[in-house]
Amino acid sequence: MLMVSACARRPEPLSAAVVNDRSVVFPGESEAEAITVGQPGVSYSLDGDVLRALVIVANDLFPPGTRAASCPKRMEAQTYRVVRKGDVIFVFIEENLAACGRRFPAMDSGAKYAIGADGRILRRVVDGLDEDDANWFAVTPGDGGSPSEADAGSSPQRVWMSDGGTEGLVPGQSLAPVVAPNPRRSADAGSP
Amino acid sequence: MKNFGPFNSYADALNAACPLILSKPNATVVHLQDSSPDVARRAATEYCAWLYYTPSELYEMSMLADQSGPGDFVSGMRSCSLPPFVDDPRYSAEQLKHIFALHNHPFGTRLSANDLRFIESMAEVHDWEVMTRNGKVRLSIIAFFSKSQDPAAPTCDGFYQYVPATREMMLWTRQNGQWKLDVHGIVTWINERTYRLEPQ
Repeated sequence: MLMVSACARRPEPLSAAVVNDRSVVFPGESEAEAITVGQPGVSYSLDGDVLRALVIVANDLFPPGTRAASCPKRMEAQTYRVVRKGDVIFVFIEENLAACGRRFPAMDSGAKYAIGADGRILRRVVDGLDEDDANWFAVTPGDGGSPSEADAGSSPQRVWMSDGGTEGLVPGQSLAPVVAPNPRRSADAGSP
Repeated sequence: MKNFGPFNSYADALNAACPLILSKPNATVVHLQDSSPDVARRAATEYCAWLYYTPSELYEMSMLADQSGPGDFVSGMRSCSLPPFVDDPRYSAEQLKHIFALHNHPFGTRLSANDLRFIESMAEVHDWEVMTRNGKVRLSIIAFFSKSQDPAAPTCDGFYQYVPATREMMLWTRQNGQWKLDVHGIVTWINERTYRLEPQ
């Protein structure tokens, strides 16, 4: 028994195999507000595929039998947003500030997964570790492509590069004039 | 932070902060990316700190925030929790001007949407723009990276920077001892978790 115990491998996070299918594009937000599961007095049904996707994600980020020392890095301190598109189940994980009584998020406090119909992890993007194509692409003026169109097959080469006009700048210096607050935040403030 | 500065210019402070943060254990793991990618992912560690401006008109760096402690490596999340206010016993919190939220990206990846989310939340409690001896400096988040294959001597090869006041995204790289602005664009949000970089 001792032998078995001594040889048992410590569960490691991020150890699940990933197909890394770059053709899988994470969808944008749905127009509709996400439904929060678990409200008192309301029953919900979750099909097996969705549950399996959540289990795969949770086990990969937070291996069973482990518990992070700090609250924000625990399984129960995240929100899990699920979007199904065709055969793929997308899971977006983000820090739930209220869970640990925090007012501000941490840097790199998110992750997202795409789980295929066979339960394989098609794509995994963990903040701070994996490049997120969707978060960095430049479109040429007039392109007007939707995020998913612009994202498909995008690569860092699509980023607009500049060589000129930077002489005399100091690292950390800002170039542009101050603009209105981020419209995303304004929109948030105005929503019901 | 002891043994760091203080500095008369924020550029000098950045020059010093970058190699210091990247020299911490597993702050860069690009040397393992090809040979042991799984080990690299699990070892990768983020460190974070504030660069701030004091009433003495000097730039200093806070203590590195308590990044993933030994008990946190069981989690796959690689986040770094930076307290919103620097605790410098020489001054009151209101006297300190928070300028740059510094951290590292162990694989040299770009700023995440949650990095932007973090600094925008900081813009709610700190001034977007502060006056210093070097003129106006805007609150921003910075992610240092190294491309070094030598873990014993990681080089500071550049950083990504995002400025919430202007929604600017910049990539600064270091070549032959000189800093160069490689990418400059304006961020627009596609949705809560995806941003797009528009050329400017």
